[in-house]
Amino acid sequence: MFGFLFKKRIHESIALAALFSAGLTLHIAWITNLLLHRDLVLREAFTLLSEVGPLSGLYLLSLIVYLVIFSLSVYFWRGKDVTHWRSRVFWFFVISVVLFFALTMPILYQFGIVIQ
Amino acid sequence: MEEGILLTANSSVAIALLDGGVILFGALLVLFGSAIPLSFLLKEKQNVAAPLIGILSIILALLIGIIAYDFAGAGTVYTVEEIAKLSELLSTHRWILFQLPFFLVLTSLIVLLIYREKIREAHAKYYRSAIVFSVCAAFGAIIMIGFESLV
Repeated sequence: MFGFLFKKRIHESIALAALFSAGLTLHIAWITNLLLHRDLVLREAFTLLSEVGPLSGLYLLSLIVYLVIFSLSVYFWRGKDVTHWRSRVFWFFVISVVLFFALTMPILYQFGIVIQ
Repeated sequence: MEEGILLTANSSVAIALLDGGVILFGALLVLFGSAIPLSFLLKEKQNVAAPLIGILSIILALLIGIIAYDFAGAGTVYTVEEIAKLSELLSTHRWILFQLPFFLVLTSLIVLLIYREKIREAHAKYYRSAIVFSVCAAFGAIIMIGFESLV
């Protein structure tokens, strides 16, 4: 109805923020998973549902982190020229996904050295 | 009683369809089967963004449904001693890995909702690549989760 009042434009900052927040959330997720595996106190703190275990807290944390980073990045990039950020954020996103794949493998996050 | 696919009293299709989780997972695989070619066609063809947005929305809803379904029926007990340890390990890994398709599909959906048909433009090259990569990686994760469920 009031479409003629607004200039049709692409809100690239939102798309960029989505990629950035996904990448950062995946990093926080694998690091938290690693800490949960090592620390009993943290594991108990993250157990929101006893049937599911600490993963319930991990899911909630990831969701909150995604929403917070997304909001902050949209606010940061809003109305700015983000041309030079495109490739950087894209490669950060790709690397984050690959790292998440690798570092959530049980053989990697369970790795430890025992000193006798 | 003999087991078969369709024309037997003990139909394996009927047994599989009794499980809601299997139906959701099967639908997810079918939808990914159409999302992957559509994401590759984003640059070449017109009017691909709208159907892809629709498919990704349904995939996201299915992923949320599977999480809710699993949360509701969590607490599986592994009874076979030899594979109990491995099953538990892979089960935990499945749960961690399941975040990946969720965030990738959500991100692709946001990018597509912002760009729509303008995703074909030259400057959107990185966003197009991000969508293709996300859909393929999410499918890879789903396949991996499926295989790990067999153990």
